[in-house]
Amino acid sequence: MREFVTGTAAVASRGIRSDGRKNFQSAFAGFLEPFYYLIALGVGLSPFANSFGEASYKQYVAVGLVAVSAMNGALFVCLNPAFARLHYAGIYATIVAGPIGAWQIVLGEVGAGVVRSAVYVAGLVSCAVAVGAVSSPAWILGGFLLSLWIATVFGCLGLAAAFSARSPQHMAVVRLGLMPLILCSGAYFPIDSLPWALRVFAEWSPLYHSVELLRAGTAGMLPHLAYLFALGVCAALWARWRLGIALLS
Amino acid sequence: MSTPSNAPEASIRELAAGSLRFASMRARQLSTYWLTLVASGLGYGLMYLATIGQGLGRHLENLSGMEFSAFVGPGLLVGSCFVTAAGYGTWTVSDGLWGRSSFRLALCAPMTPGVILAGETIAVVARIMVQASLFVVAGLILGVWRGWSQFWLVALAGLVGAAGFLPATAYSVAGKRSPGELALVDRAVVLPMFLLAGVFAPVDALPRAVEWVAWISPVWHGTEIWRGAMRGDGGLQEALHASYFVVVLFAGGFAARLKFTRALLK
Repeated sequence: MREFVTGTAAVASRGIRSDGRKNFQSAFAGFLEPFYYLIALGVGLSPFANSFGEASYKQYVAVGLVAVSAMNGALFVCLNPAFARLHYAGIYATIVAGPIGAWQIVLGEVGAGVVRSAVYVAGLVSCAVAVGAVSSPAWILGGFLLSLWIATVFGCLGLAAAFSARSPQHMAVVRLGLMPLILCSGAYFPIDSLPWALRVFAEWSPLYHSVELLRAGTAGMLPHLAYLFALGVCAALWARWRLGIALLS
Repeated sequence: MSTPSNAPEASIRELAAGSLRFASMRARQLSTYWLTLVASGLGYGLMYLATIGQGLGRHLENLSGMEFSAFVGPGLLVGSCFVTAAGYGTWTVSDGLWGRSSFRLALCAPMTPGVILAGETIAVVARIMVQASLFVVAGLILGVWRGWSQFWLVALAGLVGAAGFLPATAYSVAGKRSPGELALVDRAVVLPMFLLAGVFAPVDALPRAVEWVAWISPVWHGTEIWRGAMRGDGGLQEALHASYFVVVLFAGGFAARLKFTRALLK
């Protein structure tokens, strides 16, 4: 058990250290997009928005963007880079030669993704505070903890996709899917305003449940937590299975 | 070894023919994945207009006297074309110089760096105009605008695309850029010039500190030209926005040609 934990930590720390050094520019680049949307949509459109109840539109968007940012942080570690490490850099093949197994790689990479997410979310929340888009100080801590959970789920989903893809084209398709995922997540506006087909897609989308998780009060969290938990467990099992096939056969 | 710069002066006609030949080579390369281009161009337009335009628009008041989707549509079109064009200027041009070296290989044919750059620019602008047409079609499908009156947006997008491509090229050929650097330019320079350029909300609704991003961005000047035309009060302001493009295209083209020639003949 102890070896399992140290092995996982070793994989995670490798990922985190590579973020801090040679990948710093790309890692920082990934942080910026939600920040622009906070300014452009949140701050820019707040004076024109009329149906967001007591909260200003700025606050509404900020909550959604925290979920998007948590997702981005995890995916920018566990999607394309994980695919490259498996197929081009050969890092996982090297790792399994030592006393570290496939489960430790999966959990370690998710851990590195969660750490990057935490940095992204912390940065975004600071910006949101600066532009007055945070409703209550109490929300900050709760939102931060929940976003770590969101990052964990998306880390598993990212690895499941990265380890299932057999060519860069498959990864391009997955990347293309991220745009509708964000636009139809309820981050920018309630999903009831979507056309019917997109609404059906949104209701099953993990990002929609993440956004709702952050919007729900303590009482309404449970269904979203349960859905994300089930999805995360399935994705982790799937990722472990695919990694085993990719490395050992 | 004779370099093309020592070659006898070519006539304008030969230069034009050379750049068109290079552009058509690029077009044929792109056409191998035409289905992806069409599907993604149309899908992008439909997706953005249906969600940010119409979905979010339901919760907003009219801006500048228009429904939100009509207000934001042209900006989304021009902005997405700008991002694509700048992406060609950074990633594809870097690849042509230091990756697959298609520019170096073209030098083996009777072509000069200037001709190759002109050909690449023509191909990118044509590609952008295809993307813009698909976006206009997406707007027609969703009823954001009606009839053929908005098809001139395609030409506007071509202009904004060139104004994104040439400066990006000048930057990316001035030295060898790492993928990390290009990703940073993508996110820290190109993307704000789309998202913070008064596309979603009028520039005066944005914080003062980011106003200047719009002023330097082709997306803002392009969008303002369109909005002026819609209001029908074209005048001094539109002329100023148009002169911005003259300056950027000349300065960007000159810088790109200079750096590109140096990089290729080094």
